[in-house]
Amino acid sequence: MTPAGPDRTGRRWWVAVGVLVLVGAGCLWAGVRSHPVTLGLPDRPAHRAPATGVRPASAPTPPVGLARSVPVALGIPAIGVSVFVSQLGLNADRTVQVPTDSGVPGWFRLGPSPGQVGSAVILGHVDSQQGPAVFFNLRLLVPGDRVEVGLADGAVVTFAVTSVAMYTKDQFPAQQVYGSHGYPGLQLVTCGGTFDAQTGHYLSNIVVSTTLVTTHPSAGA
Amino acid sequence: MGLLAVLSVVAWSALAAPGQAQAAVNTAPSVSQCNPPDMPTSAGFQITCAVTVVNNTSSTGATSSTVTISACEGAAGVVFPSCPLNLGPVVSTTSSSQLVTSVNQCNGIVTGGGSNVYCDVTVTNNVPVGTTTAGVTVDQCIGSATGGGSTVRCAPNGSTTSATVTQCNGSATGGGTYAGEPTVGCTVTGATSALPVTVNQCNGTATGGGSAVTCATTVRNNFVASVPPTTTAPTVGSGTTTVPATGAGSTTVPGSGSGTTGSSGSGSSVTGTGTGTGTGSSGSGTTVPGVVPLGAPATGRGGASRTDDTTEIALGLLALAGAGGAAALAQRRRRVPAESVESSEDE
Repeated sequence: MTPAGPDRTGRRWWVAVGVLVLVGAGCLWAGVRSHPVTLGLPDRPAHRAPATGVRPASAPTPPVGLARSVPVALGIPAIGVSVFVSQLGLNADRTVQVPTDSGVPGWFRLGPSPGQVGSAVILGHVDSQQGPAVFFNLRLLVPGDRVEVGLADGAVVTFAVTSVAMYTKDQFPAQQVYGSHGYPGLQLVTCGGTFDAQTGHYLSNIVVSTTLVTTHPSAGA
Repeated sequence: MGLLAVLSVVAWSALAAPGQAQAAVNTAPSVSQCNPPDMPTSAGFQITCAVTVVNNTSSTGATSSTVTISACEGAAGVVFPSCPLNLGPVVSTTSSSQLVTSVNQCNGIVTGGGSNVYCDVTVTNNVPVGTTTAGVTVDQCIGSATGGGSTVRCAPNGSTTSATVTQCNGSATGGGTYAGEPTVGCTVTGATSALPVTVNQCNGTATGGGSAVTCATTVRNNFVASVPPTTTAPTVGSGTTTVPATGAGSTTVPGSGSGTTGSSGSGSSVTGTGTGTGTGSSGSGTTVPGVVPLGAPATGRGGASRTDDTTEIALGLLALAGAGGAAALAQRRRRVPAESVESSEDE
């Protein structure tokens, strides 16, 4: 036994400590570093059966255009959304305002109200700087899912999802989203796709199109 | 259930503070439209907005009201109802059990020059015979049309504080006018009102050069012997929403307002050059067109656009734990030789 034996072993342990610290710190740094996530549409849109939503107690009524009434609440049972609705207008540059609260979607008040003939539009944030927001799971809706809107006049109008689409910002179909298609429709809009950290914006929008299926109380009641 | 809970709170809030409804586009008791940011503040527009209020009271005290609004935004020169910038006039009618008490529209808009603003308010009060009335006081056309080459036609003149009708003050101050219109032409018709309704419109509007502001308020009283209608529930689906032209309108650029502030008293005209053409045709009768905003909405802030790699984090923590263990062993190894030396010296 030479006296240098244990010292050399000790030094090896210290070398091992250094290596492990470096490896551990590196892994932690890499682990918490940004891993971009694309908020796109599911590969298989029909990954689950469409929800039936909440139906009014009375028999469904034929969809007819309603009188204008401000939407005050929004419910999307399939993704657990049940929130108040704010109102949105235009910015000075004629772009649409977006909600100031990431947890509260907003109705574009310069268009039809939900239930009127035309395209009512409700916009909500997909996320805030802190994390997911009210419309984070909007992209997961599938045709047939129900969307309920409570109106200021007490009526609850129910829409059924007809399509879920994603468009790049430069090809956003404003006319299709905001223009009338001749029936009472509701468009739900949020951001999606890839987040551009340089601009601080997502590169795409998710648009969920719906059509009126029932009103409660029924139209004309 | 959640939606119902939300609705109940909203309904309570609406009852508690009905006048504070944000949209108030057509919700009694206040009506507000055609103000920024819904209408532009830039140059070269033609804005035509109207509010018609019918207030009803019965001898039993029951109240109801009906509000019809229209709003049309086009390039300067595009006449109502062709409003290609918002696909036609937004028109709607809403009923309420409350009386409308105020109307607010067309204030602080199209201030960039070369614009033309037409806004009207008509209030009809259906009240029982014998209802007392109050005088309609006026505050209008004060500090307006102060630029060079301006023309003013306002009647009656008035500067009553907290007036029933406050309109056309501080407007069209840039000088000149638009296409031969009076720079400021505002009128109030009706000397008395049986119900209190205040009108606030066309103030601080179209202040750029080459602009014109034409606004009118009319107050009428109908004294009826029988009980007037007391409809309370909003009408649903009975065709109160009227229609509009979905304009297949071709718009050539929102007119460019080229007015500049006129020199006071010079008399030289500063003419707006807003241009635009529209050829909208009537719509089908029920469709409600809306404004089509520019661009795509920015509804994300990026907080969910990245994620942590839990595997890497777990490996990192494991490595650090290993480092800790190795450090403890190394420390122990260092102690062992020292203790060995000390014990051998004792021996």
